[in-house]
Amino acid sequence: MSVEQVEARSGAYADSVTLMQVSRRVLSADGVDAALVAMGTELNLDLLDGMGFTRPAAVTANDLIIAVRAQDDPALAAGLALVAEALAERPGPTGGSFTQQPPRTVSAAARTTGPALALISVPGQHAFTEAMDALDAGCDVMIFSDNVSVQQEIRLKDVAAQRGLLVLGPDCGTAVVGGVGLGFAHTLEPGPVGVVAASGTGAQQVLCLLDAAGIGITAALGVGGRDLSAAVAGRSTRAALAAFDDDPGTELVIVVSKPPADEVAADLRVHAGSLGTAVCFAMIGPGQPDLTAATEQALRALGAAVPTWPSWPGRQGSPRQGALRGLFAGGTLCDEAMVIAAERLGPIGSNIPLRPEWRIDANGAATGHVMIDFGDDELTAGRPHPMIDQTLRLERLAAEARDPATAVILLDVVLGHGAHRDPAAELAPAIAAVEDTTAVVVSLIGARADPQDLNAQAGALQTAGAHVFTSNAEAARFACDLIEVAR
Amino acid sequence: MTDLLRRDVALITAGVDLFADAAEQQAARVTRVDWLPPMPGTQADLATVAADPRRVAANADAVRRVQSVRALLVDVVPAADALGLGPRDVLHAGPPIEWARASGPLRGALMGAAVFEGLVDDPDDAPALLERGEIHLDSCHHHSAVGPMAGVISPSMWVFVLEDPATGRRTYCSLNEGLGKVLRYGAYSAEVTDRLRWMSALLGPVLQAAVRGHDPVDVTAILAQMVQMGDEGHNRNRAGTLMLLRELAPAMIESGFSSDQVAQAARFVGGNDHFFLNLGMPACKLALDAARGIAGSTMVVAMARNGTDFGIQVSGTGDTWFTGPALVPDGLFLGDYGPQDANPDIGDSAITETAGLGGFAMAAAPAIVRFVGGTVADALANTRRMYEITLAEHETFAVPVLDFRGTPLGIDVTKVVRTGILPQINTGMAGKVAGTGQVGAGLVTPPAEIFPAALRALAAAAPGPG
Amino acid sequence: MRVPAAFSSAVRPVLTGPIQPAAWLGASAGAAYLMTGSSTVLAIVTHDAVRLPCALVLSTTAAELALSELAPAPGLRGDAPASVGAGRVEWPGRGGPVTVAGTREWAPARVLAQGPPRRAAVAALSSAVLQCDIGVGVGGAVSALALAGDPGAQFDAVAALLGRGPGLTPSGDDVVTGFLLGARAFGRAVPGAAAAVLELARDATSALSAQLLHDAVDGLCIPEVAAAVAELAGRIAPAHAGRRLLAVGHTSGAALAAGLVSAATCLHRPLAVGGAA
Repeated sequence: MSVEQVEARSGAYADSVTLMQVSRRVLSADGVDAALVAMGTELNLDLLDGMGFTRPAAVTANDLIIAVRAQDDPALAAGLALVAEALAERPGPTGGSFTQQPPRTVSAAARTTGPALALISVPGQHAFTEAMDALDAGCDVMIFSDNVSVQQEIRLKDVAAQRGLLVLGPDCGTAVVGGVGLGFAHTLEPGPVGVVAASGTGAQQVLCLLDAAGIGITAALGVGGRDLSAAVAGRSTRAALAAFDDDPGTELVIVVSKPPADEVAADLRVHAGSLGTAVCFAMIGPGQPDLTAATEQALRALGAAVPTWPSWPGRQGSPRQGALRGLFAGGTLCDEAMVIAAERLGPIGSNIPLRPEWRIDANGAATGHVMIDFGDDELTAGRPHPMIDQTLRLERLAAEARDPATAVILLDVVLGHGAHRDPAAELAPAIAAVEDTTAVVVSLIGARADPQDLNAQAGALQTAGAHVFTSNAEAARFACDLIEVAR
Repeated sequence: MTDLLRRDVALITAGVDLFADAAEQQAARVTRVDWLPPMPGTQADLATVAADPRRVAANADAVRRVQSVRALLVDVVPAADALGLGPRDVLHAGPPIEWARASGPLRGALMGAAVFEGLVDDPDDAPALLERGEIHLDSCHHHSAVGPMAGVISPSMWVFVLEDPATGRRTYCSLNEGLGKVLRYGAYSAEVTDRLRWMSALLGPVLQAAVRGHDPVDVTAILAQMVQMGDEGHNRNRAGTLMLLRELAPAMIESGFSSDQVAQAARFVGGNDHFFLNLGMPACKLALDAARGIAGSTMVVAMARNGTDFGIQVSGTGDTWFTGPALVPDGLFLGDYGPQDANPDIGDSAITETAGLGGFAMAAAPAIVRFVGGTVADALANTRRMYEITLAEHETFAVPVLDFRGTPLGIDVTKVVRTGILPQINTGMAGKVAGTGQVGAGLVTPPAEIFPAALRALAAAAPGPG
Repeated sequence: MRVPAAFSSAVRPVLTGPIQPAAWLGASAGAAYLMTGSSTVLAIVTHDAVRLPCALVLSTTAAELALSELAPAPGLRGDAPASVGAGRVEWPGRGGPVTVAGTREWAPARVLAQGPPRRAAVAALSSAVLQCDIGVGVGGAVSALALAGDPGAQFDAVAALLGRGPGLTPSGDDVVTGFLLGARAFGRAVPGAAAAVLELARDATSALSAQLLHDAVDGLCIPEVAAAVAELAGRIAPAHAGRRLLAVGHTSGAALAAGLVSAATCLHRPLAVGGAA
């Protein structure tokens, strides 16, 4: 046996959506079988009929109908009370909060920011789509992601050229724009030098040497390790040079690269000669000035003094006769050291060899002079870059120290944004544990204002017994000297 | 040349938070993108379409063409004349469908139309005719027409004729019957067909005389105004209906019909808050049809449902429909109807969302979001979310509460696939049993899988990777 | 609370030097001003505020983080001096200690000698300035500045303008600032004006305004002035840089523009002293 009540209230307008919600809420109450809370329109009166309620007399569309059918009187009363409560309800204090959701694509973000520099670090297979979206939105792009194909890289750089934009990367680890260090980068002062880099750690070396010389930069633009390959042909390097050439604050540009394609390098030198701004080249390779020499050349071109590059002498005494073992986090630093050492010592085995016949398995035991790039893709698969996570290098350091054939261990330590917060704290005990028969030489790449504190890092490494240099080339030469003296 | 070195550094980051954190520590202004992987299995097609050199210009052209259309109401005539329908030709909403797969409300509407056209006396005799193919079905969209819900247009029904003065192109839509038990919701009782007869006998002719005795009614202008008056042009058309009546009332009075006849027509139009929907829809179609067939464009030019399938058409892939099963809307129900009574999504009315109205303009009509128990903030968030998947902001439809920002316009297939955000559609709900009529209203999205399918076709049509 | 900031090269010596106390000059939502014992003024400004050459710029906007809330309550500022040095600015804030850390350096805009202005551009800016309110009662003094042909007259004209007008940066000072920068850009020697600023500004106007005047003698300015100057000199394509300058502050932009116009309009007159300023 069910009970029901149908009531029409005049002058009680509420909008239909509110009333549908009220109806739904009342229906959800225990013991309520049917409910309609609605204005008395013809449609609603038909619904009322359809639900088996009796129409109240003389209802107009301006009357509020409340019809509830329940299983018993208490349920009916509860249902009606719920109607009253729901109709009286007002939004809570949270109502009307207009928080914005974060944008989901770069182009959506750019609608509010305007043209910006988009930093893309999504997994490589998605990077092309995101980068193209950024270019579509009028943004310059820096792509940290790797695994972007050469075809895609060329397409991105061609589109950027059409739109007057710049693509940094892919696989770009270093840039400084507006004084902001992006990726692996340093805290640097504003100054007259622009840096274009097809090499991450190579650029870091040049920037830190400039910093040591008291010379700041306008910007450093990493163009990706393949930019000076034959296929990509310096597309972004040219765009970056054009931007610097147009910038009144840039008096000189340094182009830093790991070994480039010969014809691309040659074309680029001709192109650089047509610019109004002086361009220096620091391109690693046999017969080329090393990064330190190229930086010194740039300083002289600016009329700035070339300082003595800071260094901290290590343990005295000569190491035994034996081999040079280089353990690098930076690929270009490794390249530079190999070029210097190969001239002096002959073949250098490596996972990134200067000559194909010098290739060795990075994970195998070393024989002869060897330099390993721990930042190479093969050794970083599934783990952070060695500039962040030194585990592999520390293990190898201990192994090389135990090898009786090892006379000198050459390491690079890179400071700055993105790098390990205190690399010396991990390296110093490992260096201290190396026997006196083996020398440890460190090239320490850092700027004066880097968060890790360059001097403190150098001091800790020196105290552990290492010879510390801020010039990678000087460190490599010193290591070769030690090997030659021991002979 | 880039002005990267000339402007203040501003960053947008997508991916690892590490880089954004480091830049913020250096006092850089960083806008973080909440990046998520795209819909599964789409990355190669996304890359191919992203590399299509025609895409950017094609999409810009598509948006420009849509915005340049003005929709004028120029006539009201029987569908047979306007659409060239033979006595047994009947159009319906959504992608094309045969009787065997038709949903309850579409079947009910077709049965009602058969009675209305005098093809059968008893609606129960209609299914046999329809099964045998003796009544010819086709999609409204294939005839420059649109219809809400079941969208059934038969030869004797009267249609609005909208025209773009710049090109002379025309689109058509039936006259709105009102709410409740109506043909478009699948009802086909005598009350329904009687109303249709009255509409053809009186309402159509009165409106025809009024429109012909008046300058063309600028429907686009009314749409722009109603969006600033609390309508979103799909589930709320109250202001639009009133403005239409205001425009036409004098001409109706001067039409030569008796005052009783004019009053009947005026009362019918004024008593139906959705009357203007059937003008907004063909206006949206007129605008979107201008953007059809642009090679390389990834913009959606139609979203439509027949109660069984949800279909989209994309500018760069011609007239191909990409279809998937229509979903059941989430919303509020009339009387004691519930979700079990609702038919899957139906109607051509999603053309409004496709053109930047409806769910896309929800911020302009906050009342609508409460169909799913939401708040005003939800309405704003909804419109803002749609900017993520659209190419542009409408130059004419502006949302006051968003500082008169244009509504999100031009659904981009690639953005839908990349973000996983689906177009939000405001809709009515029909009962799934033929003859029921309306059971509620709510919110719905297309089935997700039709967007990767459209993307695949766009990728296939793109010139090879760069 | 630690807030990273990008600091102007102009404040590097003070910011990275030894720690010293600094007194509060004022704070609004978009900017807070401090003066060290060595009479150097530092501004801490939000991302959306004007980039003064003496500023540390935050990455947040005034709406996101109001500096007036970050600074001590107005009544307590006298008892809560800040300290500046070792790369940071610190003070006891309302919700605990506040550290604004200079984590990045930026080069402030600088006006370089770039030759005579284009007459049409000057005329356009001049007529735009006439539509603007440049602050109370400095019109006549501006004319005097424009007409001053010798160092003595320049000195007197500047002296008459310094400190004229209300607020932290009185309009008269803005006019002088614009005049000094315009003269430097357009190659007009104004030794009398520069001398007047160096001799009188510290006593004649607010500490902040005096700092900005001294910066202007060195060619340092806000980016809007540098852009407007480059536009007047035809160094960049016309792109409404003048209009953007006029939009700075309530009256500051217009007063700065008036100063630029003064420096530009009298170039055809014989100059009392040759050479660039």
